[in-house]
Amino acid sequence: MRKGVKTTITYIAWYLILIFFFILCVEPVVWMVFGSFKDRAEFYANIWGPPKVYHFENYVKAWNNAGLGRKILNSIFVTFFALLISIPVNSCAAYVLARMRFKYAKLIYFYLLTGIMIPSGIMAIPTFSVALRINLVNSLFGLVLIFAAQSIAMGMFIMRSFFISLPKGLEEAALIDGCTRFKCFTHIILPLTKPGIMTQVIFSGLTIWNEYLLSSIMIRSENLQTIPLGLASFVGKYTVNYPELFAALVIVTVPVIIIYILAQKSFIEGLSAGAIKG
Amino acid sequence: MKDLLKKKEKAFPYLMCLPALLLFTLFITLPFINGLWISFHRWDGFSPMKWIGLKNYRFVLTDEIFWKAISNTFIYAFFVTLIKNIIGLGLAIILAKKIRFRTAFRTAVYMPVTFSYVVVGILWVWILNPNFGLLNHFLRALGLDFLIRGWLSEPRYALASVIGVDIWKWIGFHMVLYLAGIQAIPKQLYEAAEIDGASAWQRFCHVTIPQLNSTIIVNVLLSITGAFVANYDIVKMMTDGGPFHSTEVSLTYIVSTAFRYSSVGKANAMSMILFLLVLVFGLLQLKIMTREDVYE
Amino acid sequence: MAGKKVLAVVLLVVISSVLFFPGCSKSKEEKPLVRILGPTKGTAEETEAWAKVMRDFEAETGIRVEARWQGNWPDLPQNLSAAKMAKEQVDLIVAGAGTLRSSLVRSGAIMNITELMKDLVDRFNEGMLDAFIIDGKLWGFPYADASASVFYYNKTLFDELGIKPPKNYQEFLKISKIIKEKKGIQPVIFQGKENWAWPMLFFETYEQTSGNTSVAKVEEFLSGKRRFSTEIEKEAFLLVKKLFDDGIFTLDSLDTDSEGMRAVFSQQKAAMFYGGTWEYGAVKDVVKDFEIGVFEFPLMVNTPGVKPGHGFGVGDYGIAIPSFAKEENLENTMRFVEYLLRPEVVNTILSINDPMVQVIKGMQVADTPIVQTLNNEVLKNSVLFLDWIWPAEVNDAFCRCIPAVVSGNMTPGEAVKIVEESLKTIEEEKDYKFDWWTSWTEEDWAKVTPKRVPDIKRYMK
Repeated sequence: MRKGVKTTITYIAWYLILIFFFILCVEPVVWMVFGSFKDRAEFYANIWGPPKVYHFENYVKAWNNAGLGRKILNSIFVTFFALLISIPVNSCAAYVLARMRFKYAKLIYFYLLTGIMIPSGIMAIPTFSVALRINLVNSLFGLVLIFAAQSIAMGMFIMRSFFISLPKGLEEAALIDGCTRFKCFTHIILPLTKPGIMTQVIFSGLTIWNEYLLSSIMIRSENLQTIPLGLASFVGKYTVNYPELFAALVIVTVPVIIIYILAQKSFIEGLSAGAIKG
Repeated sequence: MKDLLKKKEKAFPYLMCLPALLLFTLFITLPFINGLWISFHRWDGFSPMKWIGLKNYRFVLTDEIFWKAISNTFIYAFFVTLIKNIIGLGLAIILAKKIRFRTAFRTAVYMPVTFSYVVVGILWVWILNPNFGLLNHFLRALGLDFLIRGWLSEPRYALASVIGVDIWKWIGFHMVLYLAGIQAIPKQLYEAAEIDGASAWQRFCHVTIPQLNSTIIVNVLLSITGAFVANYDIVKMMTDGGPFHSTEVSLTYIVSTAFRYSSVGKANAMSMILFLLVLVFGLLQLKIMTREDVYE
Repeated sequence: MAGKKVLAVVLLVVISSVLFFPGCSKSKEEKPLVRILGPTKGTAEETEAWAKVMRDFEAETGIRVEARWQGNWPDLPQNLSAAKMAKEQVDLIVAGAGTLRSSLVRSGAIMNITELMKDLVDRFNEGMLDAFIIDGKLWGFPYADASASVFYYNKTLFDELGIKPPKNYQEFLKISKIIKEKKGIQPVIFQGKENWAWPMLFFETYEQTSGNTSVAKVEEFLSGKRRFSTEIEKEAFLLVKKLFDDGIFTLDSLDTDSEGMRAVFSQQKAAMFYGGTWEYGAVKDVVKDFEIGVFEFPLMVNTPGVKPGHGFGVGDYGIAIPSFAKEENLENTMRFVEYLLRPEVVNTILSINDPMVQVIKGMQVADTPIVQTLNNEVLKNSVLFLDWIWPAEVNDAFCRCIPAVVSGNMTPGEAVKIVEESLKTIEEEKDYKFDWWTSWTEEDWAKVTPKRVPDIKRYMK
């Protein structure tokens, strides 16, 4: 009986904490959506409440003014391919650095690791001049390569720590069966590090999706602009068109949230079915 | 034939590292060396670069604002790392249990991670606004008037407010990582511990924490480096380093120096010094945290 | 696994469209081309107006004009620098007089257009080009309204309380008391969270404590002929603080950003606010329940003969030619400039933002009571914005020190020291020279001076 009371109290405490965080995190979304339907007068006069009149045209205007269609495609392109290059590349390196002994392994590891200590944003000008020399300025492909390179260090570190946590016996059996090292890596080890890959997709993906400074220097023509550059068009010298900016933000944020909801099932829950045993 | 196979075997790890090394060298190391080169010059972005040797480093070392920014960055990194991980882990433990609406809660806590900094900035600046802000309104309603203050304008609280917002934005991310880690802990370990009569706290200390070791390392490193190399937007949007540099962090000061003051050379010298500090600090931290490494 | 298929299709569409679209836009015929670089326009109307002007110009002359509006205002210098490094064609840039004066011109990035513009300067009204003239040479021209700093007030509320805009500081104090007592709201709200806004208050007080010689005094300070730590500078800081100590402004302003300021004013939680004339457009759109009026910053000192003087400038938005623009294209560029300065074109673009001052001849100006007050009372007591004179580092020192003085975290004595030090630092680190033009060599001048001046008279209507 006493134990039952104790559990109930714990549950209530848990729910209170959860509800607190729920409000803290969902309220901004609600506010953003409300704001995106207001006109400018109401945005200032009625800051926190729901809109009195819903201005759906904000969305149409936002879409057209920022040229969102094109920019969303560009952003998807850049993010997807940067990850598509970076994740396999850093996983390969991380795997051998975690599981094999070879000359210079430590050196290579620390060399790549220094990358997480370089603030990529403020390296914008030097990066630009390097990109200029190899003709990658004003091309989405250039952005893809640079972003891929920038996420190698962090990705390698994340993947390596996941590889290290896997038991050693895992690939030994397969190696004895005549499996090549590489096949063993792609077929046995890699599937077990799904959370590592997802961590990268979330972390590096969001970083690339929101990157502004470097893109603003690298991209020199309008049809190659990415979403963050498009959002700048709501900001005038003295005023910001918040209702339209919020409408644009809803358009670009909601898909990211939906992707997360879809992905979290396979990412978090699919894991417990995995064969990781200590 | 056997020789070839052996050679292949030997070359394998290097081949696996090659693409990473190539990309990294081309787009990180080369720009870095370029930045180092620029740091020896006086350059405004337009006129020809002028070699001035180590002078920029002298300017940086004697720049009080830079050191203020560095110390703020360390304070920032410390608190952000500590609190993000405690709250992230706590929420993950609760949300790993089979409780009602857990998907809704998980999604909700994660949402701020996806927000653009533009929204985060205006939202919190307005929540903290003394006239129509939600926070002071709330405090007044609770009769806690004495707590009302200029959250972003009083030097004592401004940095704490910015740190709070940074934590709010990222706990969802850390929660998800911890959640994935917790889910991967074999249930038998808990069952065995329970049979041994371990209390919840003991189970946490002796099963959860050791099993989460690699997750914790990743989380701590992500939050530390975030505070050193990726907190520009949030500080810029919330306070722009004010009031009187009390929330100035190294990134905001470096970006101002490069772009607002057009001292590209000096800004690059700052980047180099920041890099060295983070390098020493990061390696130390890694050394402490990853004792049972594969290399030992 | 339907999800995966959908994902694959989406990606395919994205990839193909990204890869194939840019190809289409490149297949335009070879026409002469003028390219403009500038920050994004705040509104769709303005972007569209520019696009229309460019189309009309192409139809008339066969010269294509391409604009790249990218990034926000502070991004312009680095964008221009990147364009120069990439050897891009840039014929015109949109930049404010402040940016030009404080950094771009002195770094040799801007062309001296005195000769190029000699047939066009009479398109501007008297004195409107002043902000773009340095060392007697013209480096750009304004393409916008003029701006000044004023108090805006809730006229409906003032009428209800039976009070009038103050003529002097005593009256200002009196009406502030009345507003606080009768309405329980703060008299003035200010955008104190925006660092850049603080110097505007200092311009007002310094102009008064310096006996209407603030511009000359600042120039003397910057060229090393004067200390900035005398009584009049400290007094100027103190007067800003006095506004807060006397309760006309409140410390709430320190946490209020520019959008928050408009919100507080439009919600009638403050009866007045202080800001630039550029606020008018934004505020009149969001204020629906009451009438707005403006008045000038009142006189705070008792020195005989001193009048108020407000920060003022023509050239928040200006146009200039980068020094790396191609000489052979200057004729096309200047034809477009000539076209831009025709009254009907001026009105197509500039009328969108309801200008208040006639900068360019033929520019339509609204005839409302506010505009009249501005032109008749405020603008006649105006001096150039001091932040268009002093460099960014010194400006930042002001931006940081004024709120610190106001909130009691710093004394005026400490503040003026920090301002002086900021100048000393850049003199050492950047070789800063206020009169940079005195040390330029022949070679430096040759880089920014066009060798051949195209004759555009024959194209003028």
